[in-house]
Amino acid sequence: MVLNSYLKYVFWGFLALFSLTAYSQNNVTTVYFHAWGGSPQINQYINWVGEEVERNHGIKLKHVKLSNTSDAVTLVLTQKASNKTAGTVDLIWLNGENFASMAEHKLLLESWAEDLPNFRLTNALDNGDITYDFGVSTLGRESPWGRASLVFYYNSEHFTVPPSDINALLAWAKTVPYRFTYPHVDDFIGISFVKYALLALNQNADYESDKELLFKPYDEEAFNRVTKQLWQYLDQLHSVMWRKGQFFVKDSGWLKRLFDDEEILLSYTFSAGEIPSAVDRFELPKATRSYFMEDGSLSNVHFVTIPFNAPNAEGAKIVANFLLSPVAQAKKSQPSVWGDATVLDSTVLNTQQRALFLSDDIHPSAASNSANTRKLKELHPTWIVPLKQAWKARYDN
Amino acid sequence: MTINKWPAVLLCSLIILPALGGSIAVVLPAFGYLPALEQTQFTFSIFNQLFSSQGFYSSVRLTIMSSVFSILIAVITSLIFAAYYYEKRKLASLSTSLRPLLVLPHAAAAIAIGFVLAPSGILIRMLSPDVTGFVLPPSWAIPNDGFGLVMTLSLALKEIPFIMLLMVSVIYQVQRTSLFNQYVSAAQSLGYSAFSSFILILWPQIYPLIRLPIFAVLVYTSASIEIPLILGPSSPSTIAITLLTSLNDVDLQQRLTASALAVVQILVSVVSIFIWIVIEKLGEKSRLMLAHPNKANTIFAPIKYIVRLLFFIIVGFMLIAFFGICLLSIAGHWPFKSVLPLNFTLQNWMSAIHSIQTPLFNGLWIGLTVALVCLGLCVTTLEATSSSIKLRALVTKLIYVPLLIPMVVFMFGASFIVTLYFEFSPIFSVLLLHFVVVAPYVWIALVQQYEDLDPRLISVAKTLGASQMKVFVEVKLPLLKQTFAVAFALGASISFSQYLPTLLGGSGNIDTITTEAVALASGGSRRLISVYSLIQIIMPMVVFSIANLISGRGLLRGGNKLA
Repeated sequence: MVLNSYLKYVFWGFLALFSLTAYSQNNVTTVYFHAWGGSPQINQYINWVGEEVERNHGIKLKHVKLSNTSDAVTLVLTQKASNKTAGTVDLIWLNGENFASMAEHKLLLESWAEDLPNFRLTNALDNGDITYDFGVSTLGRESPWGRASLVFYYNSEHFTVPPSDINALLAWAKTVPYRFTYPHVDDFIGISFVKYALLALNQNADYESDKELLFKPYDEEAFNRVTKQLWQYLDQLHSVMWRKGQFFVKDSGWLKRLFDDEEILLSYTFSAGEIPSAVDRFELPKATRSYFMEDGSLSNVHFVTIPFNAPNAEGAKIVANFLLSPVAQAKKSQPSVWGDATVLDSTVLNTQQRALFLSDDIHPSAASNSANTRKLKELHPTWIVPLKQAWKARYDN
Repeated sequence: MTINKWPAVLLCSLIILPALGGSIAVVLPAFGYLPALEQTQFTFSIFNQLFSSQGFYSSVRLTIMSSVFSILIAVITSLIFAAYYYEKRKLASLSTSLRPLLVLPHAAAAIAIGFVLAPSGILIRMLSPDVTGFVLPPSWAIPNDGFGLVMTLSLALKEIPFIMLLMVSVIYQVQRTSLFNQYVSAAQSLGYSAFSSFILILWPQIYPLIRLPIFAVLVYTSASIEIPLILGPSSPSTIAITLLTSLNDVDLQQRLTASALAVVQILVSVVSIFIWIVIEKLGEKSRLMLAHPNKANTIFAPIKYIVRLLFFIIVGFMLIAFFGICLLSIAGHWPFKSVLPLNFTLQNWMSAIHSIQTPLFNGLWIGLTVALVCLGLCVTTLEATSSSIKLRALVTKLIYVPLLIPMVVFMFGASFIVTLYFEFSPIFSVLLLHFVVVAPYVWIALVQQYEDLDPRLISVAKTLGASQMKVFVEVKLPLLKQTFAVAFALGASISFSQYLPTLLGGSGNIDTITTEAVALASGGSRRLISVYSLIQIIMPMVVFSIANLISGRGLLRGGNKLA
């Protein structure tokens, strides 16, 4: 029948088309690097890394731009669920809860990071935080990439002396009402502010032993004791916050937009280098100035990790090692590139390597007091969920 | 002649199996079944937990209210526009003038609405500080108001052009096949004004034909993400956003909550449809109550006056929004006190152009391939069912299945199944998932035109001994050239705009303009988002223009029939 023969052609045609497109994939030397893709600057840096590893090692680096790092975690989990031994993810940029979650579900390649040739440049013995990710021992399951610490920024056109600690922040907000806010606690940057407030408010407390508990697994009794002050503080702060604390923005990008529109005049983020470059890209006002709080800056290390089922784990290790090289770390720390602080220890670098990190262009918006900041350690990850829940029970209507 | 059922079976199963299978795969964990997390016990505890969670019921209420009200506003607005402009024979151009709103990506629409309405938005900027005295933006609770008012209106605004388009295409169809114009003149001789007669007499004929698509829009709206995310309240948000938040939660146990929320999302969509059916009944009652010329004319008279005002507000809003997006894409520093940016830059365009080659290429060939396959399979099915109207009608019903299940619900499950079976090729998975989303629209764009073909032409050709193939090539193809071109362009544009199918099918390894735009949006740069939105607007426009060119309709006229 004519129709049937016609259908046959259609069928074979589709099959050929599908197969052709299906064939055009798969490259053994490709490394799929799943990393947050929200910053054009960071994307450009990863692009540069790609060019370098292609030239030196013949590896094709494919940056999979995530809008949410947990997408990669879910992906690997789904692959484990369907018993896939060959996954699609080679390298993930993450830390904190994402790492803890992957570790808990055994989604990670075991002990590889400390064997990377460049790992010794971090001098991990003297820098304990390099092998701890939010209080969880990395056990060589992830390789350090950079450091971040909470940095505040303000619009110097409208005031010149920013609040220098957590109590000054409240006092400032009372005199300049509705010009500060922080994102909802479901966001990483949002919960980080709450963590900073919790740590800073308990710093001068006389129950010294409780403070240490924050860095150990969650304990309900201790939680109730240490958060008491936090809720009192937030109750007061919210009443003078943007929208009176009735509405919380979703993420730090939104925070930046509010700051750009001058709806808020004081804000914060996790990466000091982000601010000068955002000013240069016109996303923040020219009068933006940044600084670290005197009562400490919440600090952490971010890492790259390899999933248990990475199709190209060897390639991923080569990339991770390159990311730790002085050349790559120095380039990353330049304010015009990314401005992310290095994880290498300058005492174990030679003069030549140290020279790479020298930079003399000082941006007016760059943080003024970075050298002498106190670092606040991250809480143990088991505290996060109770903290979020308690916050939501109080402040989600 | 025997009917060949296979194309219809193939088409329907390719669409329905992933949609239903995906829904089931997503629903199972809600009852405690998720082997990946070593959960295999059947339980209701996840639902109990969810029902007792903070703000759950207000979230359900917000979701239902905002979707039902936005559709109600959009349908009523479209109805009075149609009634007013039908008389003036300006319906087609009206619908065309709203088309830019249709192609505006949701995220861009939300940003643009914020750009107009926010306390730091363009309207307040123009009046400050001279009129308002504001040196800094006021601390007003809009957008993101607690009632979700701005969100509801924005959703309505985004739906109006789509419902207008539906109505216009249906009106043409009814005009061709019924005594439409005679009804109008009969009603008018009975004393009904043109406006009244449209609402009281023509609307009941039009409405049944757009009812199913309206249900689809309702379901789509109740699960929409971007506008509620950017313009809606935060505590609580809509169900779809809470669902997305739990999916993104690093605590993997939250996947179970996400599944339970997916079930709730389906129920919410069903309840919305039920409420809509009640509204339909009420509407019908009030129509019957008004079925008297004097009564109707008096009540409708004032409405006529606001139609033009409403139209100008909507178009004005649209123009400012577009202007805003273009301006933002080249804006330098832009403090609150100035109406226009202090300086301009091409930096964001340059950075986009530098990095879009691969995504653009990926998006284009995925879109074009999927559109071609959809068109081929749909036309084959239409040909194979040409002697069985029943089978064709059944296909048309079944094809709505993926449109009546919220995509955020079934896509995760569908991608799980598809990638399981087509592990060897992520591209194949992406194409298949795109197919599920695109094929229904292509079918809908084709089926009516196909049925409107004059059957006499075909029977004449057949009695002259022409084979089906020959009839198709020599009779139907020339007549339907334009329909095919528009259906193809529509399919490609819908594929371009897909985020979830591309992300999930390709395990994130295949990037298109849309996935790129979503990733960059998470960084929050409004200027860069504007650049990508404009690129996203240009792509379908180019494809539609080419389609029009090929089918010989001239470059600037839109694909009016369905588009």
